[in-house]
Amino acid sequence: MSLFDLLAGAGSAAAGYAMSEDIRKTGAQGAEQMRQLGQQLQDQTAFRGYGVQTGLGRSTIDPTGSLDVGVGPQQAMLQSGQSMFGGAGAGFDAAGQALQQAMTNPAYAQALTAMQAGQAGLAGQQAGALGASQQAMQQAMMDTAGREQQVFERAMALQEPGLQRAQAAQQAREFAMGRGGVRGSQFGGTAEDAAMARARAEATNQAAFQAMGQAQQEAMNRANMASQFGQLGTQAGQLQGQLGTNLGQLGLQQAQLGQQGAGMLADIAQRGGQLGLQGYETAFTPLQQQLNALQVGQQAANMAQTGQLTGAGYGAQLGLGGIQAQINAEKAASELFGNLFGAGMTAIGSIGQGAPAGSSFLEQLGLPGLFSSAVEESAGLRSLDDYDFGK
Amino acid sequence: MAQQQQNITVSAPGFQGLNTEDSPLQQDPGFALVADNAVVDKFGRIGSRKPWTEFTTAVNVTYSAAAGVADTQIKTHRVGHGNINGTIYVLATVGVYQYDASNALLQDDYFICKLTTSAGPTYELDEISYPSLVDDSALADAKLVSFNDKMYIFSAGNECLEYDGSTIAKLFTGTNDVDYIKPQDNSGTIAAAINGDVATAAYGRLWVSGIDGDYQTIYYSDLLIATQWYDGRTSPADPQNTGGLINVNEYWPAGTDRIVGIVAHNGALFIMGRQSILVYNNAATGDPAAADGIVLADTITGIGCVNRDAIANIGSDVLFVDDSGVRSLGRTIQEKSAPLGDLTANVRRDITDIIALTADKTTISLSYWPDENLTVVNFSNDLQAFAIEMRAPSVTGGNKVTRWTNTVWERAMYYEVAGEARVLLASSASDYGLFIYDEGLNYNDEPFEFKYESNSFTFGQPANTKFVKQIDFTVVSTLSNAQAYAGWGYSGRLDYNKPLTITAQAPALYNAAYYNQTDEYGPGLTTIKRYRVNAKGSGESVIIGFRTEVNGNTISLQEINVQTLIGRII
Repeated sequence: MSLFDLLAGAGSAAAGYAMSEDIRKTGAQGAEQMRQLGQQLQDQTAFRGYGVQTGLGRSTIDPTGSLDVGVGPQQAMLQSGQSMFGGAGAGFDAAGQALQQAMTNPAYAQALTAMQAGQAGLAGQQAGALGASQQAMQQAMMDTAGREQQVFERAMALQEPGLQRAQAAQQAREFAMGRGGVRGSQFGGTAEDAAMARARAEATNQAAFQAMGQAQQEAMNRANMASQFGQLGTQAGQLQGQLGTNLGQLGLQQAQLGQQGAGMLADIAQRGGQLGLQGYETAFTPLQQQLNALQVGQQAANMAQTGQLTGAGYGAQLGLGGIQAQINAEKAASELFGNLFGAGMTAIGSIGQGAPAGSSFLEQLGLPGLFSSAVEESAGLRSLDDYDFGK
Repeated sequence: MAQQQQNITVSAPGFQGLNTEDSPLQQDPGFALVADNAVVDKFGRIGSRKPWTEFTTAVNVTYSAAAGVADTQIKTHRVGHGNINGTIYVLATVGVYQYDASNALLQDDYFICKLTTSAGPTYELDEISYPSLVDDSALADAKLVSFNDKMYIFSAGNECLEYDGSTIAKLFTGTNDVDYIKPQDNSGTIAAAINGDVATAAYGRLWVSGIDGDYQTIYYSDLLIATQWYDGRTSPADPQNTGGLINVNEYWPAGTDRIVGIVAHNGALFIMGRQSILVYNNAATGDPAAADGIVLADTITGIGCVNRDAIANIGSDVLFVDDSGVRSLGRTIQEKSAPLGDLTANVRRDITDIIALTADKTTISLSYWPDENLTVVNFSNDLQAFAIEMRAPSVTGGNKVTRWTNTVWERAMYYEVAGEARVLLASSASDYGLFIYDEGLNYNDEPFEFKYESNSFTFGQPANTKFVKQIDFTVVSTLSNAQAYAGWGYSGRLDYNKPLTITAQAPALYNAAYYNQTDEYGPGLTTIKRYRVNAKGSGESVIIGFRTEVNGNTISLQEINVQTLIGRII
């Protein structure tokens, strides 16, 4: 930045400052005028209130907007509505009671009791069945050796008399044949003894195998029994579930019944309320009518107000136009003065714009060689570009 | 006036044998009151028996001489024979008894001997050593049994001995269940040894009773295996063993008895009790204990056997000595002890008395000599025997019986060897070993007496007096002369005797040199000769007798003719 630029700036600033003071004064005058115009318009456009006279009464709106309807609700209607509301409430109560009575299905309790009893019974049966099932299962899963022994002993005990008789008969035959004292190496005793012993052994073996089969069959039967008991228990559980479901459905039906009742009660209440509300609203019909009249009056007031506002608007527009014109004139003068001052400063600022870089002050002023470089240097007129003027 | 003599002929006198049971006056004249040392010869005549001819010339046993011995008796007690691998062996038990001067027994030794033959032939009894026994004196009543190419010696209390033709060993030798199977079951040993003395071999088994003194049980061996017996264990040593035992204690029809003998006959096993008999059938089946095994077919009570050796199987029947005499088992079974089964019915009281008086019943024996058609019941304690003719019974139904005396032998045994039939007699005369019942001289060269007495004759006129005038004896005699005595009497005994010399006539012999050693036949002179004896005396009944010594000759009484006068009625 050159020194000429600084000079141009300072001149512009001083001119701008003087012009802004003039503009500020103009603005303040315009504002004062606008305030006065506003005050005037406020007074001219202020609401002055109005009133409506009907057969029902006189309703007035004061300048503050406060409404005096001048009529109230019709007491008779109000009382009638209240009375109806009360009657509706009584009817609601009665209906509610009736509904409450009606909502409660008398069979529900019995069904509930029966279902509960059924559930209890089924629970007991289920418990019994499941207990029996478990017991049978435990028995079925027990080692069959003990049972085999029992069955074997019973089988042997059952056939023992027969075996004894057979042996006695065999011994009698043997004795009659004179063979009672005969013992052979092949048989231990006689062949008949061996046959009897073999028969006994076979009977024992057969009984043993039968006992094993019987024990296994019994275990299987117990398993089947356990399964059947389990199924019975399951069926009881299912029945219980079914009962629960039925009970739930019953409860649901009961709830639905209650809900329906409640709905009905709500409807009744709503209708009672509506009826009361209608009564109540009806009680305010005169007031409404008065308000409607006020609306008619309001239209008239609006027209009056509109006239006021129109007049005030015209005055305001005219006042604003005058003020605006003044301000515009001031603005144009200021802009003109500013333009003139700006062009002078620009001309100052353009001095030295063609000097090469590193030119001395004098060189920039177009006075080269006036002083030596050293003098310029020592006077600080060299390398002005190295100074930061307001950078 | 002289009265005509009547001739009463007694043909074949005594050929019906003895009859001491029926009334003498009602008897057939063929019966005899006395028939000592007589037999019914092949022509139906009563004749002398054969002598006890010496058979063995020596008994070779070794024993120590007792101190102070004054007399030594070597007696043969029991004899038996058997076929061992095709050779016939004869075994005998011999007792050597040494006495002092007062005839007190100092020492007794017992031996088992076998019959040996040497050139000549000569026969001897040679000792066979045997294992030590519990009581070797029981060998005096041993039972010798032949079974499956061996011989077995059973004696009471002693383990059975087995003879294989060369040595004698105990039946149970070696290890039980390996070399032998003793009677045993799951509870243990039933009998440690087969030590009974009642035994027989039949149907391929040994059947023994008296083991450990138990005469109620019969132990039988496995089939053809004498060393395997009852094995009732759950796992027997030999699964094919069919040995067993039979306890008959509950089957005696009289309630109780004891086994005296066991005899096999006709597929049955006869268990001879002392007072009863058990008959088991099907004893010949494979396994007696099997379902088709032995079964008690019959029991007979009131009749039994006096002794183990008083039983003789004659092939078609079994004879045995009961307290009432010699009985026929077949007939007994058929007739349920009816008297018809009584072979000695004609001498029943005599023989019953002898049996009853014989305290030691082991001295009673019965033997069948088929080549002689005789069954001999011997009472060695009484030195007498009854010979029972087996060809045909007498008219009473009882068999023809004669009596033998001086039976100095305890047992007789018939056997055949090389086609030769022999009857050997176990000599109780010292040091004779075995006799043989055969023609020849008596063992001690002493004669024995053939004796005949008829029953009393009344000649059909019991009330008239008889005057015997002459008696003609038709006698058949051979080989050598003999002194005889004719006798008669009127009071049931021989009141009168007259000696007779029986002249021997050499029989016609085939291929026997007589004169010049070239003849094929002998002179063929008759051997029958009639001897007349003048008699005297009188009486209501007449008894005729004849007796003669026999020593190397034979005598048969063919006919007796009695010339008598019948007097007035008394």
